[in-house]
Amino acid sequence: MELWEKIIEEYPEIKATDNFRDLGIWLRDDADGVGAYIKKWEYSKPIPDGLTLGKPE
Amino acid sequence: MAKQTFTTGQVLTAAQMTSLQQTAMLGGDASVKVASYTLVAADAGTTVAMNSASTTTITVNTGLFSAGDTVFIQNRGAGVCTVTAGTATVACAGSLALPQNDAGILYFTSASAATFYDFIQVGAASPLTTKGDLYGFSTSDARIPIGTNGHVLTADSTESLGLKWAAAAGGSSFSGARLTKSVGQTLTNNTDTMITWDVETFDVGGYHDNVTNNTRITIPAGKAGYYQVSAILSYAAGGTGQRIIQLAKNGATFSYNLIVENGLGGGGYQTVTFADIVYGAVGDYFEIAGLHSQGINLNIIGNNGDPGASFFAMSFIGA
Repeated sequence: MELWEKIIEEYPEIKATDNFRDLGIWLRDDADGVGAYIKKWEYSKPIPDGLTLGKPE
Repeated sequence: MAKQTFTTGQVLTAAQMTSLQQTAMLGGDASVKVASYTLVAADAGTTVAMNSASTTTITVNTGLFSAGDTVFIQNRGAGVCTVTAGTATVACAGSLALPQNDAGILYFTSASAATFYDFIQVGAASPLTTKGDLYGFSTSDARIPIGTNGHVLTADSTESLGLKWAAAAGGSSFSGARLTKSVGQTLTNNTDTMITWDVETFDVGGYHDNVTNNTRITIPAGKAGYYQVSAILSYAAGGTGQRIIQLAKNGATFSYNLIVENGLGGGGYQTVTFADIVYGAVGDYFEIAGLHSQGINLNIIGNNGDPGASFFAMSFIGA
């Protein structure tokens, strides 16, 4: 499951076709093999359990 | 005629008077030398002519002449003849070095000091000999020979004349890179994704590597300055959400452009273009990131050679 799908699963009020940035959710993939991570989180609700802010080490 | 000492009641002959007149008018017989020479007392009032193909000197010593004495000095030879202060002092506002066919008057202000009045004063004689020569100076006038075609005049304190002709630095030599993709790249929905570039249309200056950090164009040594940036991201067909292209500098979004998909239809590529001018210091790196909200993952078209394929290019404008 992709990172954006996990977020939608936690917050079903968010649609896949919403512009996440407009909601304050910035996801990023540096194309370096690490995969997607949460770059910035300004959504009205907290980061879902099991997810973390920032690029994994 | 050499300087004479007349006595009371002496009768001058016509020949003597003619010779004196010639000497007074800087004419008359000349004592021609063919090698370096030291003036003697008998030279007072005469013409000393040098005629040598080699460089020579005419040396002036003290105790031989009186205030008011003169010696007319000529150089007839190809070698430069230099009036040289021996034990006497010799002042000069021009040059003590006489090129061929130059001359001057050595006028004694005392038994130990003279002034040399060079007929060709500084600036009067051109050292230029060849088309394109420039007039230069070190301790005396000199020519700066014409340089190689396309070279520019450059200040250089290590040069004897302080100037040299050299190839223009930088100038019109192109520097920059244009990158494409051999295959497409899947962009995860709603995720800023750096675009990889594994094909170089060109890379003049070492801005990019097809394998290592191949998302980046990195400013190489010596190329800090302003860059024209242009890029296209061609998204695969889709009918929903936004398509965004962004420029990131050192990992942070610098500027971006977007299209809103709604109303554009979903039958073909959706192409987002980017253009800007940016400043890059040595070591700064720039990347293109894509972002979309199709609702599912979406491909960037990357087939190299496809006119509609994505690309990323930066070219050096100037420092």
